[in-house]
Amino acid sequence: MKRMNPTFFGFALLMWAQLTMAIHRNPQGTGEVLLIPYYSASNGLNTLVEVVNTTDQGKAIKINIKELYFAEPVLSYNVYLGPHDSWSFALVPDSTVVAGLDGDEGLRHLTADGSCAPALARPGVDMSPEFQFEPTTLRRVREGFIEVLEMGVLTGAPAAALSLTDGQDSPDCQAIEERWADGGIWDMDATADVLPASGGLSADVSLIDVVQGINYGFAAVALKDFFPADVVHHTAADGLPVSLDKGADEAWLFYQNGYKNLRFAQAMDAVNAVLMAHDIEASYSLDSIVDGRTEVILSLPTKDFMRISETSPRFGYHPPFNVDFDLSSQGNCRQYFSKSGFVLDDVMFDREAQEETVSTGGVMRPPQPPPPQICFSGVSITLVLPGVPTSDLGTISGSPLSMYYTTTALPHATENGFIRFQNRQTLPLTGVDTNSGESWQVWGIPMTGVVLQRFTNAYAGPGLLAQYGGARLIKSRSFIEPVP
Amino acid sequence: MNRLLLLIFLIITGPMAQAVMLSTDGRGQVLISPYYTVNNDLNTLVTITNNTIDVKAVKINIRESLGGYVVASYNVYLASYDVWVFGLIPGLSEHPDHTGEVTAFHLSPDASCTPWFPKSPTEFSTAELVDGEPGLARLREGFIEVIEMGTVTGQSMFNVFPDNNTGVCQDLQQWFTADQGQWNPDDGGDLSTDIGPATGGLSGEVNLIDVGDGISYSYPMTALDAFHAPGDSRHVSYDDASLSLDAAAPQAWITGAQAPVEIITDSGEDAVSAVLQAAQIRFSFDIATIVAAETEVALSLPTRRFYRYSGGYRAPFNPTIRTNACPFTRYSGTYFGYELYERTGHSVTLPSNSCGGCGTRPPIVYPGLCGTTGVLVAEHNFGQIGMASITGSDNFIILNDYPYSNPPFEGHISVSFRDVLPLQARLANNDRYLSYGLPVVGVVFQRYVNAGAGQGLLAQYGSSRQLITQKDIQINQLNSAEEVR
Repeated sequence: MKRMNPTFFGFALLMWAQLTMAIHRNPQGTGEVLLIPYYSASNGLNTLVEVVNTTDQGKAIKINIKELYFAEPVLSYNVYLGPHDSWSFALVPDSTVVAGLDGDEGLRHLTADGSCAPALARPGVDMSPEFQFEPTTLRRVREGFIEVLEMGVLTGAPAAALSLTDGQDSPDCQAIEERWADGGIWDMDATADVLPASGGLSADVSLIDVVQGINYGFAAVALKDFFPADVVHHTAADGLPVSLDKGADEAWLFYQNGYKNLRFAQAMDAVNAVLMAHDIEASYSLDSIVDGRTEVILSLPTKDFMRISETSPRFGYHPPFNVDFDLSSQGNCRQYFSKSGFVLDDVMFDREAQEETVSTGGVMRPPQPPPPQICFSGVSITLVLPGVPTSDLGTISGSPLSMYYTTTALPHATENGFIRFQNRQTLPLTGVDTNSGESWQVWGIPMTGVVLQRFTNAYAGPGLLAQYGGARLIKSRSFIEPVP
Repeated sequence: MNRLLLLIFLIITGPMAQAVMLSTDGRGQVLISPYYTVNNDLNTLVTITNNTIDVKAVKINIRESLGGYVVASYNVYLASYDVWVFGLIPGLSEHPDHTGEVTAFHLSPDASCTPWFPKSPTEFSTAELVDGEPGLARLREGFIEVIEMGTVTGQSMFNVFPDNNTGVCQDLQQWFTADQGQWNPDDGGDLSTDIGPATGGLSGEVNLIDVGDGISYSYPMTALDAFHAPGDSRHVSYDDASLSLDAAAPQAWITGAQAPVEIITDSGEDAVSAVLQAAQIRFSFDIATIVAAETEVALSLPTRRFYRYSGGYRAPFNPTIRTNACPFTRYSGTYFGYELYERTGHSVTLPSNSCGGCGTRPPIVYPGLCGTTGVLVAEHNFGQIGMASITGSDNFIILNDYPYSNPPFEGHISVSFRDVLPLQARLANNDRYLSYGLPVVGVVFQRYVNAGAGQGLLAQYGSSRQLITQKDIQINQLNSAEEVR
């Protein structure tokens, strides 16, 4: 056997190291891919999104808006941002005017932004997708999550079309649209004048309850080095989807006191691993004196890519979802499909660490519903104090995927504390450490989420009702171990 | 060393054991609140959660805005999955030198043990304010450090946290002061008794609550993981405020510019600074008058004081840190430039004296970021408010748009620190690591008013946002002349 020259081997390794991309979360808030864990136009909420290109490069970006049941597309379009440009849009409730759906609860995408978004109706577009899976009610569009993916860096003519000069108020969107027209440059070759994505996108989200005067603001989850090296995924607005299944097959994962670089056989598992949550923590404040409310919203942006059957969710999902875990006879999963949900085991702690767990069935805890079973691509969990009828509460989000969970009833329990969920009945993903060659298991469920918090002060001033709201991303962590 | 051998060595050995890093999940051994304030009748509510089964000894340091000096410091001992809540509120000082001045008070309704530190409203201390600006304005805002000192183990754990909490805290504080107290070094005690290594898992949230205006600004604390060296604990006495960010292990994982890279630094403060360092910060602004929109950004430089010496400052700060940018009594400052981008991406503040169609601009005068904690205020030149109306900060800088003839109401701002020096470190293979910028944490505040809301409803919308930071890193390959540093 011919032996490789050691110097050449070393050089090849170095080149490999330079060319290989490994997905990781960027706590500094920028990346090629942004995941907005939740949008809602229910309960009087409007969702405002601002995507910022923090670089001096022109960018081609795909925006995917997906609903929360099965992550089916609600709206997908391209937007082209010049250097330091931003893109703002709103999702608001609307009664659709689509024939046959009059009166149903719809969603409207609005924008007054001057950036180029070919084929996107201005100022607004009613969203009326034909859903593949039941329930097919249009109501599903009212909440979900949003993917923002950089398709590439623009060069040459398209970059020039987006770069503003002094005195120029808006980009040359016609030039961009012409490239997608029949026989246009991108119609023939979508990669022309497009280089691989380079990152530097950030996004902020505001859920605004106009009537109540509350703004729940939070940032997107940013993923960096997402795409394989030297690959451009640039498609037309109505062309092939560009989504989370286009990522690299390696990921940097937090492990104990450092990072571990794992390579996965299935590229989808790299992004799954980065988003993996084995346990989730959320603090709650339900103080009666200020009518405190806390709602935890979880979304599973990669779950749909793990579906085994193209035609139905009833046949279950690939790992980390457990196809052998049958929820068909349990809880809210029963109505729609049977396999590959999972259960959130919870432990509830009040502020003084008084603990109750579902598994031990603390005797003082009021009867609970079954542990939260996550059947869909998202769920809303509203925490309530013992003895408070849920019918009196409602939810902040107005989500039809809501479930209520009662906090600790131990003597002297405080009305605030935190809940820790652990994802149960899941299967591990297996990756190979690129340093050692050892196989490692990553446990959990890939998810993002946000905690909404609201208080009411009835005594802010004479005749004034003051409402305070806030939001924060969930805290979660995967569990990694060597393959036994 | 032959580069190929070095490469193979690195592949075999893999990552190093423990290095400070910015947590991606908000949990860690150290938490930093980028901002607290009691100005403008704001109350600061802080919630610290122990997300682990370990019993924790935790140091809380509250530091004022100019010199970063401690104004309140104490230990708190958290049971498994325990939560510690405290508030900072305004009140009138009873210090002999400041009687009647508005100052800040600490209070807590929480039952967790804070030896010798009262839960009742406690005025911030001025004892550490040995130089700089007089007056109490400097301590009405600042930043907060939360440092895990270690885990409480052995019999102490059961003694401190029995089933019945009654009387426990009184017993615990006696350990520090009583004759032969186990944590009383002055009488044979040892602060490391029954203290195990720090294990992390702390998280923190902050709410700035504007009670009168009905607004809550909620934001997470910045979490640093793997702060202590492996197996290390740093349990100090309840009255020892010296434990700070310089206690970090001198290694760091750096993210944000490229794939995570592990570096070896000269000191603990360098490791933390490298993790927090930003060449640029960015934030969206909205100052539309129709909804009375306002945007402010609170910034803290939590390691700044470690770089100060009698002759100036060490890198990454400029050694001749500009005194004309800020008064000496505010510990000087760092110049920064900024660009405003309207939503189209148009840059509307350019570092030149001319612009197409808008006439001659006045010379650019770079402002200075003074002291340790300050607030940037986005404002129209014609607004002329001249104050930080959200935070009420006393250490604020106006970012106005005077050079522009048609200023935007919405967009984003990029701030670049000027005249900073590179922070130097090395990789495991001795490659040189250089990073530019300042070690900074921050939070963006936004406020709107809806004058058309329902009768009797106070419709003010406030929110806080993550500060976007960007790194500027160079890794220079090993120079044979400096193979070993």
